[in-house]
Amino acid sequence: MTVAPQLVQSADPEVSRTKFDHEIADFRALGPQYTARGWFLVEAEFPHVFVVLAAPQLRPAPLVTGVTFDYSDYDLQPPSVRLVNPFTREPWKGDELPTTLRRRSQGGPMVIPGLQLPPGAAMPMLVQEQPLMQAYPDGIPFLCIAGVREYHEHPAHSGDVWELHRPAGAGRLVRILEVIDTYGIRPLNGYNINLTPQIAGFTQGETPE
Amino acid sequence: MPDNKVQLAVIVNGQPTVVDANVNTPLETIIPRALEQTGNTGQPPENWELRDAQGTLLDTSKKIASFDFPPDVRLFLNLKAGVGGLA
Repeated sequence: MTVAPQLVQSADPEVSRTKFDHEIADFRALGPQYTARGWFLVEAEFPHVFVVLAAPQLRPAPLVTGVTFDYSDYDLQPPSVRLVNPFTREPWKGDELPTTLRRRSQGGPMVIPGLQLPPGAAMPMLVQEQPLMQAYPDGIPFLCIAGVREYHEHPAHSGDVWELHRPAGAGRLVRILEVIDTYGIRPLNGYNINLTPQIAGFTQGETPE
Repeated sequence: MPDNKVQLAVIVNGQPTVVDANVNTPLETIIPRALEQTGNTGQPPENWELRDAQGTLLDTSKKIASFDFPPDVRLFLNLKAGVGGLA
């Protein structure tokens, strides 16, 4: 198991621990509802939480991914969130991710040179898909949304500080699980199977006398 | 309680609250109330999404009565993913 570097605890540890305990108590209060959705809280010991997400809509239902949370220094800092192998708890590498949490969004208008639209016709709009899991080419992927420590620490997001999102509970356990479930688990509707036929010899008709 | 009034259990980012609502109003009317009751400030109601217990996104423009919620219904209000995936 990979041990993540220890995060510095700057906030009063009792504050972080109390907030952590609230997160876990709130989750457990509705545990059966979350279990029905395939969310299993496996371990919760401050500051770490380990949740496994299954896809109950598939038959057989797979364990799609594990998720580790590190609530050190919460909520002075947002939690660290990693998608991990549910059996080994090793963070997935980029090419190992079982799901990249693709989100569809509307792009700009699709300008086609020379195309004349009838009066009043709406300009066709581009639709694009963007994975919420992002990584440097050789790095460990991270969940690229506000409320996640790795997002706010990324230099591209220095203008979108955690303090803008903290009052809305952007780092709360259930909220982050909901995002992962919405974009990474619920859209799964079947297995992608590759078959590799192998010729093992010949078949034969009736054996002659 | 009048016939047009109902109490709905709403789980806001994991935190439960009970909201009084009028069944003849759109479901979206419960969102600001649920946010206020749970002290979730800083993000406007349109940045939140409401789901049922199965995780299905609800059309909050529809009247509450049209959902025919059972008395023990729990609705889940969570902050949207927002801008992301652009690192």
